[in-house]
Amino acid sequence: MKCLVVEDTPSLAQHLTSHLTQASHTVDLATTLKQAFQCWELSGPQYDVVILDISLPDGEGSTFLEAIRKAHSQVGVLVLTARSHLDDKVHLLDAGADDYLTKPFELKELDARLRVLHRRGLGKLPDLQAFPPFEYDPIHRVFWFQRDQVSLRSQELKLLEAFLDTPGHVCSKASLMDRLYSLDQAVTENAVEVHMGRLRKKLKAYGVEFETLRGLGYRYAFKP
Amino acid sequence: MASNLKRFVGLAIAMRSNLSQDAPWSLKRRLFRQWLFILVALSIGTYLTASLIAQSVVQKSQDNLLQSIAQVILDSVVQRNQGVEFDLPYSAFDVLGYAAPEQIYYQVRLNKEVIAGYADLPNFNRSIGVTKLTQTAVYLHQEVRFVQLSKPLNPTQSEMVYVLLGQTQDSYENTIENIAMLAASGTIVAFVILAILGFTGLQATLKPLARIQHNLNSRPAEDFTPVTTNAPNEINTLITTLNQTLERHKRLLEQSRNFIAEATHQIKTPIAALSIESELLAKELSGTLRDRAHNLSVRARYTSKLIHQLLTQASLTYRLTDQIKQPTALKGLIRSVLHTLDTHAERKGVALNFVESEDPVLISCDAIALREALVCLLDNAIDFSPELSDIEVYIEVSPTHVEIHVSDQGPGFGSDPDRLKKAFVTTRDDHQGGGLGLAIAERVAAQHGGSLTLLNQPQGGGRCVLSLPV
Repeated sequence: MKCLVVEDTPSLAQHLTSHLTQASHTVDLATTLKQAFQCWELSGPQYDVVILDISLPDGEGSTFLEAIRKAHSQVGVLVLTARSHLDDKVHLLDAGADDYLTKPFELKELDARLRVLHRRGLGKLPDLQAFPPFEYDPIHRVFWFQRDQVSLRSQELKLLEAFLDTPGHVCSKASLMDRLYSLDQAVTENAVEVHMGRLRKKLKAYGVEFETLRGLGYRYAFKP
Repeated sequence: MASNLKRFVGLAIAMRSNLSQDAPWSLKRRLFRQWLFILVALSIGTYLTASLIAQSVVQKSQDNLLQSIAQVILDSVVQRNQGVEFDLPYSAFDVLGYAAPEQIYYQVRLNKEVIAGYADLPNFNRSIGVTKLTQTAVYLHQEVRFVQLSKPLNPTQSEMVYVLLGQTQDSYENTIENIAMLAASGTIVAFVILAILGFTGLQATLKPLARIQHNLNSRPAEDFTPVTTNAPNEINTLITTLNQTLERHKRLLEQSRNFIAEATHQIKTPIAALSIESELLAKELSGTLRDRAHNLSVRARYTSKLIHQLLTQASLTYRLTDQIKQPTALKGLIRSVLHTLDTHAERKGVALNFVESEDPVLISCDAIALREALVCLLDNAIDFSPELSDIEVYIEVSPTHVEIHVSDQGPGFGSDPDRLKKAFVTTRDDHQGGGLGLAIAERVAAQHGGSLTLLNQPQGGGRCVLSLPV
């Protein structure tokens, strides 16, 4: 994912850049409004996500936001704000922000929001992997139902991917547990049951059922 | 701040000399009372004065007439051949009858001897030498005006002739009363016309003030544009002062907002850097040091959360005083709040389920304040929910109220739930909760005329019910 980070506080900018780079994203950093516009002129269409601080030394981040929305850019914009005025959040969303994060924030929350933002902005690629009633985009890890993305939390996505990858679409609880958690995480089978329950509830509307097979686990079944 | 200005204009409608009085009063009512008092006093005064003048004039006129007629009678009494000859002039009495339809009494005496007329008329001064006497006396239960004239019968003045002529006064009194009433009525009519003109003038003077008051009442809280209205010069002075005050308040508000925004930015950005740095540090460390670095990051975020809640409460105080209400689709608002908090809930494995009814729910509320209240309730529920548990949100509608229920599977609210609605009271012992979330939600509910109820569910967990009037 190619990110444009617009943040003027040196330490925060440095940490953000290093965190995103470590997560294999390509990062351009702008510390002023002027630099942000320069980056945008050079490689605007290539950005998947913009992380935008609202208070910059030479102006308001919202100026940049309004300018790129005026130029009909659909790039996902996550605004970082330290302000607490209630109207500001509404103003930011009205100005074209897709989401906002109030400082300080957890890096995991930042990652999660960026993922959602990136996926939301994706278009449906041709020749996707069929998984009735869905189609799966393995590059971006997105399930499509007709023209819409299926809204799944990360654990639910991992579970559905497990069924997709397994021949016969039958998964044991143990294999699902391996999918969900790393070795050093202390979890029980109950966690798998809870996430399976939630996935079941979400996909019921699409005609998908998860049959419980005694001693074996679950089987994915589409009943149109 | 704008509401203070509204009150200021309200007071300005009253007289300047009474601005210091606490109790509200009406200029119109006060003027009406004063004018009514003056009207009554002026009417009575006019009536009495006119009555006195009329009485004096009428009395003089009656006396002159009676005197003339008495003189004619007196002239008809003459001495002839050592005797007295007297021929009563009836035509003279006719003149009296034409003047006023009254009873007439007369008496002609030669010295003390009554030679004609009523013998029992009151006996006035009969002493020799009195030629003219005018007096009012009661005769036959009526007030009668008497005139007495006298003349010597012969040149030696040995014998005197007296003529006493009396006339009742009923019609004269009626005339006096009519004149007085007419004068008083004229005064009342003139005064009422003046009062109407006065009130119309007052109304015209107060009209621009009412327009200013309406203008201020109908504008949004943050509208500080100058008041413009056609008004007389006297009112224009007030409008100029008012606009200057509005401008001052606008500048003050902008200054304090900019200061809060700048101060928040200056405080929270270093905290954000600190939080991320300690988080990255935690990744590079192991064992106890890693835990300590992680704790540092968590503490930094909760410090920031407390600052956020304090500023939210301050912002709400300003918003809620001004009652900014607008029709709001409640289901959309709840969905937006759930979307905002979903990432936070997902990290804890907590599911946010909105049990939606089919019907749209539209309420009149301050959507931004209500959104903040719901964020507080859900944030609180997520914080206290065990991992992998569910939070249910649903709406119940009754004819009078709309209730938003937030139900979790956490530890509940203990034995005294109402205590938790107070600011800075929390059940957390790790000092990581701001303790303001429920207080903010309670305040938003109360300012909308509703309430916040905290319940412990029989099956375990807590349930917050935010009730708002329809």
